[in-house]
Amino acid sequence: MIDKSFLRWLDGEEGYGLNTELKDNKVNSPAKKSKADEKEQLSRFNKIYGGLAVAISVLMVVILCVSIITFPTYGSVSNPANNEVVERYVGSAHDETGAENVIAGMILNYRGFDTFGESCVLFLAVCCVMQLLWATDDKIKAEGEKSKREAKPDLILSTCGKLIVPFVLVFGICILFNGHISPGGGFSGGSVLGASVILFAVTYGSKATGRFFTKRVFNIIRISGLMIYAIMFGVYIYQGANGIQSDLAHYIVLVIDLAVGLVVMSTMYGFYSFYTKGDL
Amino acid sequence: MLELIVDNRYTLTAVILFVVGLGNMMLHPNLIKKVVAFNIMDAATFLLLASRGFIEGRTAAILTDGGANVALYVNPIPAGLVLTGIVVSVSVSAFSLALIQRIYGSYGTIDMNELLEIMKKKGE
Repeated sequence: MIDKSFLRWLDGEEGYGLNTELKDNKVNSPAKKSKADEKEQLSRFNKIYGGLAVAISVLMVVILCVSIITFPTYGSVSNPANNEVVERYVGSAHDETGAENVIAGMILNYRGFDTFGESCVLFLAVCCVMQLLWATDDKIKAEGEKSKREAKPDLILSTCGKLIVPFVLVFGICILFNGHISPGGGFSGGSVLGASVILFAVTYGSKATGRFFTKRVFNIIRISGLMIYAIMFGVYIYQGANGIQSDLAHYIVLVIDLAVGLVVMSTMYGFYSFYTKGDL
Repeated sequence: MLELIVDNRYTLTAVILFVVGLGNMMLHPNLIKKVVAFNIMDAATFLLLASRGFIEGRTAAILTDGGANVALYVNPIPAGLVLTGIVVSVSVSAFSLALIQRIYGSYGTIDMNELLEIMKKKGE
């Protein structure tokens, strides 16, 4: 009984979106007489749906908690995850990649393709957001201009921002360039740099940011970041990958880190800018 | 029993967070809240991964005075995986929020039930 009404509701639902002609033939006559019926079905479906959702959640807790019992002990050396791969990475990361930060060396050299994929994901995400939020409509653009003019920077925010921005910028650059020898790296440094640019835009207004961060610069930065990464990683692979000289590997890690940082920075500022005014 | 819970406290927290996110994702009709729930699920996964890599009494995998002695550092691989996860989660959140903004722009609502009503009306 329950299943039938549920299925019928689902069928009707799919018919609506996909094929209106077919739906007209099928539903037009019975739909009018059964409007109240449909509403009742919908509320019944909502009830069943809520109950099912809670039941699935509880079931999920039980299943996962039972599986915890079979987990290896937390923090123990004999975990299956702590195998020879870790020994290899920690043991030879410094000699092979020149990075003292094993994680940076690992994600930029041993797992470099993976990180390249991540950078591409960020690149694609900013492309999608651009496509979705770009204010092509003149009306929206005019509204944006109006709100831009109306929104004066907050006094407290702009005063604090003027004090903080240079330090955040320098801190971001510091993280970016020291990523391979200390905690940090391309992703964290790029985020901090992006945050500093956003803070600059909030403090001095987007017009001041537009003076150096135009659409052209934005495109150049994010595309050249990805290109530098691809070229440097290609050089690394064709120069012998793990057999490469430690000094050379050190510089390659630094440059790849920088490229990742540029991509992340432009992505962060791109998100902020497209969400606030639909344009750069 | 208590020992088991204390031993696996991070895993247990991750399980609870994951199910909180899953339940919210299924139950809330508001699309923004679905994105928030999705992010909670992400956080649970990262917590589980990061806690798997920890080894008692060792430090972060940044080579210092000890040199490349494996017995001094925790497992660096889960940290790298979490980094991947964070990037993907940020990208997906940004993309879905942009989609939601467009949905609000063309339908004036971000409530799933109201959107279904509008869809039905358009179909008729």
